[in-house]
Amino acid sequence: MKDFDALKDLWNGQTNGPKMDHEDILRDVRKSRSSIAGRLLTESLAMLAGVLIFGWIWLEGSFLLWTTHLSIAILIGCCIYYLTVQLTDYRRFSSGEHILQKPDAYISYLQKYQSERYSFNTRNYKIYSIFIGLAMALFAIELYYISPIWQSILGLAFTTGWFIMCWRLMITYRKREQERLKEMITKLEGIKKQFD
Amino acid sequence: MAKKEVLFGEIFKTNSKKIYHLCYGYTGDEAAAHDLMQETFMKVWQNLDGFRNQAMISTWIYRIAVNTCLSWLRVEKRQAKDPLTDYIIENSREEISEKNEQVEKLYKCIAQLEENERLIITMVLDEIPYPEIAEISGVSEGNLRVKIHRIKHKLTEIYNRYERF
Repeated sequence: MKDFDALKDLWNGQTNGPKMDHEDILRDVRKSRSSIAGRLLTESLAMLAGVLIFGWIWLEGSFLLWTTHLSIAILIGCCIYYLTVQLTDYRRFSSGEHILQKPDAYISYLQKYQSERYSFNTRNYKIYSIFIGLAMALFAIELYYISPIWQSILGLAFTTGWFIMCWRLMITYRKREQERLKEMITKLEGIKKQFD
Repeated sequence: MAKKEVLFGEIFKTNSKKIYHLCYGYTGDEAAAHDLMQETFMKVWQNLDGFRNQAMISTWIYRIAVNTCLSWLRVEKRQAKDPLTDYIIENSREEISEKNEQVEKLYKCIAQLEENERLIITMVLDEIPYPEIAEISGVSEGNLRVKIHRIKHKLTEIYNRYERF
């Protein structure tokens, strides 16, 4: 049988310690920063390439209908929107001010952040896929006038397929995220109560 | 930058062991404790420029560590409360010193406590003054004393129960 003082002696006599030094931490800070920056740069470049390609098609192509112009404008808008969201996310991720709050306030922040992130992701994904689908549908109108019927049918089938795929993916994503969020919020509520 | 790195090195040297103990006590897992300690000091580095009150730097670091630990369970699916019996069976084959075995067992017992109890008791064991623990955990000092009394009793009970195995 041991009392608390005996446990304290045991604790004080431990040889356990961190197996890293501050140089390792700084190396990881640089690595993580460059990895996030690298990912962001790749995504930004990909989106920029998208904007340039669509811009070039817009300028060089001779389109009959205004719907095609609108279609390309929507696609460019989607690329710019995606880029903006990525940059906003990065800024939010980099800001560490919440970590200095008291634990109960920090837990409240985590709960709020998770809920916001969930609705943001699901809502944005829905809007994003609707706009891409709309752009494809608008482009299909011109295709109908200038291409053989089989190409128009193919375009229509592709657009319909796009919507079905997005809708199904959205349902799976929502379900999975909702379960994860519920579990997380329950856990956080449990921890928050301990600090009351 | 070099000045900041020197300061960070000093901060790490002074606080890393205690922060590691806190993370180990919270997770009951050595690898996870290293991950959390690393994450804590990365956040310390990122926020170092904004920190002014040097006298309370340990409180500030502890606050970051506590919040990092709390968000760890949010992110990870890992369960800190491993069954102790499994642990004992697994380790009985290894040749580890009796003292180390007892320390390991103590960590596993701490991992049986509730989240805030784990954080508070590791700070008590590391002899952090009560007003500082109250400031870090955001619990009033009066309430904290009651909590500590209860946690000490609970931990001793868990440890003695498992020592019989």
